[in-house]
Amino acid sequence: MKITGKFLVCTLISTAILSAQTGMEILEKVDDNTVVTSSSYRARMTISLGGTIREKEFTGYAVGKEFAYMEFTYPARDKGTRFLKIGDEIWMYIPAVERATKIAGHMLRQSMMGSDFSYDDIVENRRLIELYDVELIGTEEIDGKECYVLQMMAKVTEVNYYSRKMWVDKNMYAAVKVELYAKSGKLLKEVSISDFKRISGYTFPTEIKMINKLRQNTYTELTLEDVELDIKIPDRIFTKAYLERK
Amino acid sequence: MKIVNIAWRNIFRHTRRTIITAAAISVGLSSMIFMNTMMNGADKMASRNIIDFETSHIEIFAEGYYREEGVFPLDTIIENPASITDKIRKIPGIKGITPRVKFQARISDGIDELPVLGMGVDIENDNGIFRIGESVVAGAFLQGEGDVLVGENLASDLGLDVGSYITIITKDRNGTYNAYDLTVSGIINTGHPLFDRNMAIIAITQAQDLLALGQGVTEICIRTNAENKLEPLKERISQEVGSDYEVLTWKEMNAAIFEISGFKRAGQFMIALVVVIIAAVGIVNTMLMAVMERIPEIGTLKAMGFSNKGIVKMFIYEGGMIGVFGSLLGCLFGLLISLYLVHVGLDFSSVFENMDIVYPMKFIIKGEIDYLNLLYVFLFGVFVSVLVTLWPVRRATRLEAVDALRHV
Repeated sequence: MKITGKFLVCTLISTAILSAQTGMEILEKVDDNTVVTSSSYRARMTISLGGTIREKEFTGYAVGKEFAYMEFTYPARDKGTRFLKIGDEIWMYIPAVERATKIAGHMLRQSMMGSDFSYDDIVENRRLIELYDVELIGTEEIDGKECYVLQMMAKVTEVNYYSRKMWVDKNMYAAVKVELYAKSGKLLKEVSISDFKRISGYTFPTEIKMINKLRQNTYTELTLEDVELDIKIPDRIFTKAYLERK
Repeated sequence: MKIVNIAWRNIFRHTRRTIITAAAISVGLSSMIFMNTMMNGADKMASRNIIDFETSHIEIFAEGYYREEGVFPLDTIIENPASITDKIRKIPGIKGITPRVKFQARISDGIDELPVLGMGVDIENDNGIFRIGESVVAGAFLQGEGDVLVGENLASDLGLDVGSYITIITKDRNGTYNAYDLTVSGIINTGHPLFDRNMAIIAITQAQDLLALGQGVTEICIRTNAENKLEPLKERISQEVGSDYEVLTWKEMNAAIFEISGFKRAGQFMIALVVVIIAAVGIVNTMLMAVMERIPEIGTLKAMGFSNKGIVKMFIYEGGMIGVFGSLLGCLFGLLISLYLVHVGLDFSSVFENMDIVYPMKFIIKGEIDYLNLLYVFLFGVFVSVLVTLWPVRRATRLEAVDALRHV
């Protein structure tokens, strides 16, 4: 009886330690799966706004958390619209204007091309473990998949979202659902990921749905195709000269 | 007989012609006065709106904050407004001081999201400096945190009423999203488009919380007793707060608006010029006719020993009298229109009423009379009348008495 009691206490303690470690570990693994050194892809964006659906297509390149480039190819109206991220700055080029304009400060939180993604959201590629303290708060089932539920609180000041709640698939170690919260605790956005592809050792999300919780009847779906990861991308793509090319 | 008397009689030889000429002058001048009253009125309204709602008389910013209009950085703010307020409170001439926080934000009613300018105001003090409290048309002024005031046009755009809930969302100074649910405590109609269309006003403490500013504010607003003598006071405040802060008057902050106003004045001058040319042509015409038909008469006068100088004087008196008469009439008429503008105003909203695009703004411009300008316009009218008389008269005096007598 005594032994059983001791054993129980030991188990409880070790489980507690284990779960504390696991929260961090899980997030590490998720980061490993999604934060790539470089990527190139074609994306289809489906924006649903109160029943009307608009489609847009773009190709994108990214290197680390510093550089990203996107160019719209469809529809004709948006064709040639390009975005370049260098560090904290985002530049936009519209063919009709023929000059790049900087999107800075408060403009970064605006919707990109009418979608539920903000400029911030679309170019984000940082390891979350560097930004958040994480705690494993339980397990839940989402769409038939067993998931860890992680509660994340910002540990640095410069973060977009003060806290996040993340559901991580137990088998794939990839987030299938993320809730993004404001500092006040208000739910701002909900991201669900319904499809992944195994590419170059990563479990990379290819079907992403973003819901802006401050607006009703809108969502944006992002489908990634022809994804290539950890490849060499020419440096010249991430220059203003390339952005402003004719 | 004095020349003045002759001139006086002469202008009544053709009463109708005199009246028409005088009328031409008076129409010209009264429209100049009308324009001036309108422009002054519009400028005054703009200035009042700026002072009473937006900037007060003088504002203090952290050095480097005021880079350009429409940009509201959160990295250069006044971290400790209390110390500044304490420093300047004793300066004579200051009527009131209140801090404010301006920031870019979006508001959402759950269906739509709109960009707005957010403003945190000191609930206790703001109404001593600004007039937002007086412009509440429905509901009440802010009672505390969680309340928001919105402009009438914004309210109608989003379908908001007193008691409606909205969410304000922005990024704090670290770039982290923050959002609060707010209740519309009141709806304001200020007549200032910025405030009526895209402003959300909240308690300053809540704004500081929302933006992670601590005690910091973006600006300190100062109202003075002497509106026309801001420069010395500005200098005094500048010395007191030191070089880490920038002190600006409302005029300096709105230089762009006054530049536009300068263009308006140039336009006004051009129109006045055209009006004056038309009036002048009228006078020239009358005087030319008077001179031409009176050439034999001029010959007689010369034969009787009238000097050229005397003849010129006579015609100048005639022109001058018509000028005085027309100018008086013009000023009187202009003053009457101006008084109407001052007391009733021009309602432009009806102009936009029948258009498809609803122009969501009360557009009644009330005039402002500049009496000095009235005097200038009068003198200008007389001067131009005399000036344009000179040309026909010179032709008349050039003739020899004999030739003039023979002239038919």
